[in-house]
Amino acid sequence: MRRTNQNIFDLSQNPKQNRILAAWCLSHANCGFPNVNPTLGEPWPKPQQQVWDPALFRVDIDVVPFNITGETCADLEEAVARYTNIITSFIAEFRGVTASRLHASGASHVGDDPPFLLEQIEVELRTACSEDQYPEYGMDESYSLTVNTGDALGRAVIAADTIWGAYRGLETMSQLFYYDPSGAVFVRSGSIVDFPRYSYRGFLLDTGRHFLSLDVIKQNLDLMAFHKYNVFHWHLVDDPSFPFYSVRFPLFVLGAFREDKIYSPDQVADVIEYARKRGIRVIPEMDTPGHTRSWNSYDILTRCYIDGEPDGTFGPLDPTNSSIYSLITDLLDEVTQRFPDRSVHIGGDEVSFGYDCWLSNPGVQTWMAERNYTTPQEVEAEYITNLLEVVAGLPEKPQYMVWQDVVDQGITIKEDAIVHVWKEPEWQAEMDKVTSLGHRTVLSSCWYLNKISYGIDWYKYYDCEPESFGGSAQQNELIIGGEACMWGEYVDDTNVVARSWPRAAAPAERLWSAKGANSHSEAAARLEEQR
Amino acid sequence: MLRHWLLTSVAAGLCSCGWAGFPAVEPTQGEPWPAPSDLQLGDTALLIPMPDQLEFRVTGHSCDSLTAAISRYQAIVAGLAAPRPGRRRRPTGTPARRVSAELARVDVNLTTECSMPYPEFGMDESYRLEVASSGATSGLAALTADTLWGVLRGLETLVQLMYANGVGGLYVREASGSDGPRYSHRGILLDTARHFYPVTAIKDMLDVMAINKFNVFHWHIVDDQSFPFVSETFPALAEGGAYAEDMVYSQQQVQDIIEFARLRGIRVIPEFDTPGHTRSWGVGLPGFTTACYGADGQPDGSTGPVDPSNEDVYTMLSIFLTEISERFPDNYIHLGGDEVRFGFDCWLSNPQIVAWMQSLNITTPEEVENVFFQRLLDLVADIPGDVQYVVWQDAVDNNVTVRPDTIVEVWKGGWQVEMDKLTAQDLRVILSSPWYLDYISYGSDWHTYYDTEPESFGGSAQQNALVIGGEACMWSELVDETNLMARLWPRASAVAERLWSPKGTVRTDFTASRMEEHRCRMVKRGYKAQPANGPGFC
Repeated sequence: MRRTNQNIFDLSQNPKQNRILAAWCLSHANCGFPNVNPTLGEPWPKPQQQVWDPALFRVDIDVVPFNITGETCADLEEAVARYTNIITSFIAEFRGVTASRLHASGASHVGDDPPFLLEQIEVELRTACSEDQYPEYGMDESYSLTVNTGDALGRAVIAADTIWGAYRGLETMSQLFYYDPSGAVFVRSGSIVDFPRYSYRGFLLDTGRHFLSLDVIKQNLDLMAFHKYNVFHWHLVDDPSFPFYSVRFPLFVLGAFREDKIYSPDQVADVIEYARKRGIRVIPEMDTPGHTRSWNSYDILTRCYIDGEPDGTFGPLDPTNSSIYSLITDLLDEVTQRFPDRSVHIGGDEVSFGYDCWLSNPGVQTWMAERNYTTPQEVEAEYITNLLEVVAGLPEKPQYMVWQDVVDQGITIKEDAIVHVWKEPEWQAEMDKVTSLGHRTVLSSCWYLNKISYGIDWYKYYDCEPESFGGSAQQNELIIGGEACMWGEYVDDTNVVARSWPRAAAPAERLWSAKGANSHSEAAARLEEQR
Repeated sequence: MLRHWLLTSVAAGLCSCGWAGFPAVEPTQGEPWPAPSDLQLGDTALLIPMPDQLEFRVTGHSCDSLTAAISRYQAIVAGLAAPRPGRRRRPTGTPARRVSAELARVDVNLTTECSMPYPEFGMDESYRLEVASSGATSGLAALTADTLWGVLRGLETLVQLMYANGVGGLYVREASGSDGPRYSHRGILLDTARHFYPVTAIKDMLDVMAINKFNVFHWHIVDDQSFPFVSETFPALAEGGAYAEDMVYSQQQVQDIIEFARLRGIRVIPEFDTPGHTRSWGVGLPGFTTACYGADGQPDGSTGPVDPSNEDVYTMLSIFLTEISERFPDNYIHLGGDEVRFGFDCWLSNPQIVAWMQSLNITTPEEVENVFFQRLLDLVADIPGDVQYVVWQDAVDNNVTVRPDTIVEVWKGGWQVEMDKLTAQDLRVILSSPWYLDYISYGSDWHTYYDTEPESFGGSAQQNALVIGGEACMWSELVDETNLMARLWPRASAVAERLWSPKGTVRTDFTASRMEEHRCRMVKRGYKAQPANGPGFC
């Protein structure tokens, strides 16, 4: 056994002082030197209005009981059970960690008892709720939260008009818990009145380029709820694979990577239900006429030609094949019935990559000549126009979303269509243009989270302000929100969660919190806690 | 007895399924990574009829380390064969292989004695491998090596020649020849100070290092931000400087990691970086680091580099580094020495240091750095046993006199000029500048790592001989247990091949296909290696 050298430095001569040093370090939460010290019990995204009460509000019980005082339904009870678990394991974890540290360092608990101990959390839902409710555009997500103040001493009260507001309030409530390194669990006291800045706060996952397991999709939905995202934009299929099992067109999944890389109807329904219970809409995307290489099970793609012969490759949907419209009608009919959301995303981006193929095909050439078309843009415009008619005729009467390319091509879209702005770097000019045309718009350009770079890149996501294009108040009204995109070229189950979070927390706050919440330096400490 | 129905379907390359997704890059089947130096792979394969009962027979010397390795690889083979959901379509572009035999046994012939060896610089890692599908030894895989390390590398290659067809069949490719590394030092640096990693995360990394034939774990164990290493001689260091009580490496855990690495032929080189990057040392040992003074002539509460004017510092380092040399069996300690300049102002602000400088008749902080580092090297020279060291290039750049057998690690930009300079001074070098894997960028960035040639500085043959290898560095400012594996693998695999495979191994489309298989190989063995080549699946 080696001699312990405590005698070299003055301060370490006395073993007791050594312990004091360690205790100092613990009580100041300052062992080692993290770059940013996390906040204690600050919610993310930042609530619209919050007034903190400095009084310490301690939690001495292991399980905090919830009391549903207003309307209720199975969904609300399930959410309450979920948050009971979250809070219970929070408390257990904090107590475990601090107890072991205290044992080793000999530090003592905080001396004086605070005046109040948390006894229960009340949830007051003011309108009836049921399992038939599906989250929708414009839903009321507001809530208020009163913790140990006013007439709620010793309690916390979450009040909301809708179940969506109750979900958001429960999430905020769970984020007010923190532990003091002295070994006690506390709740931030005060009152919060909160509601979102934008109604559309989306997150895109791309299951066409890499398959994502249901577990990972659900984990991502949990994290979305954690950050008050409310739209899962499911980019289901793309060039590389077609994992969506269509009941009407079962052969499409031959375009999947493999037979176990498919989403069955039950699994899709499971995802939708899981999202619904967290107040998250699921908007499916069926992108045409480009990005469809994996769709060829039904022989609907354009054959590309070289030197007058088919070269074995395929381009966009074949516009000369009139059966594409009945197929897309039936497919979208199935999709809009299986996905309860009112919106469906019909893509329409990057068709130009397939122009050469169209022009190389003799059948397409003839077809164009019959119509006096001379450019592939006209081919694209005819297809999209027909597609929009198809969508308008669907029994579900969906509202559609398109990528900005459709508008950029000068194609007339329905007034209530939503234009998804994604291109860089001129997104501000595009937002200006789209809103001048009177269309509602969702911004993604500055939130392509798949494009990674070294360092603390969330600042730039945080600093992106959707209204910065300088439009009129009327134009700003047409911005319905934004969407963080995690395209799947380089992500799969192994890395998608770590790559998405906490980076997606930045757009979450931009889209939920007040326009004035725009200091990334103030946000850094809160983000450290959130992570 | 051959199972003709199965063999026929593989031989014909037929698949009754029609899955037609379009991965960006089709994987190979049974191509080892890193590419062996002199191993011929045939276009015939052998069926492994009962993979979980494949016999490994020790025909030469044996020891516990060898039998432990064989058990490990038996389990890996059994895992490779586990039926997976879904049929694997045959990658397009891969010729169907004729299957003409069954693998009956693996003979492992270690030709020299092994007891409890510790891997070291320059160890022999070569092996011979014969997997025969015809002739007198048909159905036999014979692995021969002079050292335990060669056996370990050969076993890894052997299991990488195996591939499953997805319906329960496991095959191994016919092979014949030998293999050995280009460079002896093939390292991964992990920084456990900016973020703490639990022991399980470090072991997972070591496992994947073995898959990639890395042989050095450069453990950047402490830094400014935290001191997670529990010293026997100075327990106050971790008590004061760790992030938390439970974010430390106990003596038992450090020993456990060293043993885990040894069993996989991986050296553990600890780094204790001084005189800069030491903020966390000063919490447990106040006085070890320099108190910085403000413009008002008073200490401003912050600390700088090691205080070179405090004689206790040298006594402490002598005792501490003696402990390190005893606890880490490797002959080398990494002494750091980088980026001291960030602390120059602090040194010059401190009145005691200024007085001390005057007493030594020195005027610049560069000279202070030099005095400290020279004394550090002197005290290391006095440690019992032959303790050799690695230093970051800064020490030599600042004209510190180092031992002729010092290894210098090159990490800054302009590395070719630096490599030229150092090797011209007859110093051995390790290259890490182009392989800072903590720097991420969008896309298949492994191409750049792969294409870097350490000898491209244009030195003489004598200079090239002094390039002993390289290291992929994973600094942890923005990495912890949540993203380490995915960020490291398969990007570090590119570095692995550059350091193992013969000079002139160039990247082609086939390399990308091999990478696609290799990435999925790591995923199938249970490690979260991220996509390398764009859309696809494992």
